[in-house]
Amino acid sequence: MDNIVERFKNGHFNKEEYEAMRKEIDSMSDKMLDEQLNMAEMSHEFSETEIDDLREQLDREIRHEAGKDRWYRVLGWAAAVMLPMLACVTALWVSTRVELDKCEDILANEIDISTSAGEWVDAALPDGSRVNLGPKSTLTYTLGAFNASSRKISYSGEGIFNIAKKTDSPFILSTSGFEIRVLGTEFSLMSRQDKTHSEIHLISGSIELQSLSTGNKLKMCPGETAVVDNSDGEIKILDVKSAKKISAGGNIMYFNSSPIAEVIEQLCLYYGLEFILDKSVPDITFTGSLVKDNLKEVEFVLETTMGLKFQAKDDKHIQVIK
Amino acid sequence: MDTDRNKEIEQSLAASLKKGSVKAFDTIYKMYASKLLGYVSQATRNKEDAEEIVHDIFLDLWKSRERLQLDKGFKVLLFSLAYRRRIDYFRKHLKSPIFEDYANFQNDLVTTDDRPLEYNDFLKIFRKALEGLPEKYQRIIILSRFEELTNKEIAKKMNIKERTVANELSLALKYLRSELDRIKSKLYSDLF
Repeated sequence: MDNIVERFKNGHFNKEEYEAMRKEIDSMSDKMLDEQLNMAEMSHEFSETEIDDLREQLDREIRHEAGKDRWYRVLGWAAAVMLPMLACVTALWVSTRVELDKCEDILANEIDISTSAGEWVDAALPDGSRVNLGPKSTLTYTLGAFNASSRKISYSGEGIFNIAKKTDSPFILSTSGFEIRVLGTEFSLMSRQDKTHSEIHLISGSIELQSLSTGNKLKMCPGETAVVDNSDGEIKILDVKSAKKISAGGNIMYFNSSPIAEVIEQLCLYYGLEFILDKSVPDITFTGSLVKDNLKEVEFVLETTMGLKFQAKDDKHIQVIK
Repeated sequence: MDTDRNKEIEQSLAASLKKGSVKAFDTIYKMYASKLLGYVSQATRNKEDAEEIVHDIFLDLWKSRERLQLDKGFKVLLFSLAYRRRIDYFRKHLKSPIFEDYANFQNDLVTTDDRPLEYNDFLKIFRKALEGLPEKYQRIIILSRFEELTNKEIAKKMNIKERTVANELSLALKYLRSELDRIKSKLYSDLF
């Protein structure tokens, strides 16, 4: 006579028997249930390949966790560099020429934080501001330019910024073609050299945009979205009613009659994998939204709406066919 | 002594793991993954569920590596995580919506015979009927009935409104009910 777990797994029961089994199991203690489970068969066999594949999946998630630690170590180093700098500043009043040169080296030292495709990383700046870097993005600053009188950083790519409020030290972010001046605020940015436009969305606080080519300044209010034309530096605030959704910072990519090649390119960027568009896929366009963090969901949407099939060639390459 | 040597190895693995050694994690994985999969699969109804549980166990291990307290060795640590998850999984699965459908199906159906339909026969017919649905509806049914997601979770996963999920789910179930009826009577008429 099979034990209750076996009977349940085999489905050899009718309605009444199901209800009786369920009642019995509900009334069992965990320990009793564990004993019953131990008597059941191990329903599946797992091959070496399957066990390895599971390890691969874990690997990706583990590397993401380890990546976070890396940035804390960078910050540790940056803090360590700050201390000699402070020591230098006091020493400056009585120091010799030689020590002055050493301080200048430290202050000029560039700090670089970069991400690759498929990565999202958190970084903290010396003033406590937080930046969440999106894929293929770079944050650069020197200690000399980030201080009590003004806080300057350079940025390219995509990110979400939470800038600490320091009224006597304006925060200035330069990106290709324009600068963002910040007093204390939260905003998202998407600015890449190879794209035609940059997007800025202000979540809270206040920022002022200045075009480096035209010199025009534009102040933004919370909730507003601005689009900068990378070719002529023109800045425009989007009309809320025109409801053009932007992808900067958020979890969703928006497409409006975008050629499929462009969609695939964005997938490579956010998932860090190489998607290869097969010849069998015609020049179709896609209108809709895809998430940045769930590949299965993306594949499902593209499968059901556009009839595209995704075939993994190996862990880094996925072929897309019709 | 063999067990002393094992203890030494485990202590050094634990020390490396605490410092974030992926290599140590890998060694522990290779030592226990297969046994854990076997243990867990005594409760699961498919491979994916077993793999998901073991995946979560190892991810847990990695995430909590810095606070790792290895007094009783990795075997005890990992199997106690597995014990909890295996039981929770089984209890949850007991209440899967597919069983409700099975019960309702029995009630709604006009049977031509007195023999009650066994669950696994019902499951076969259900899966066959499912093939007749368009892919999107098939997916909703699978997510709702077999993966036991709530309408809200399905809405999030499929990026549609919760109300849409509810509507489409009821349409799909309606279709399935009539299909099940048709298939079942055909089955029995073939038998006789």
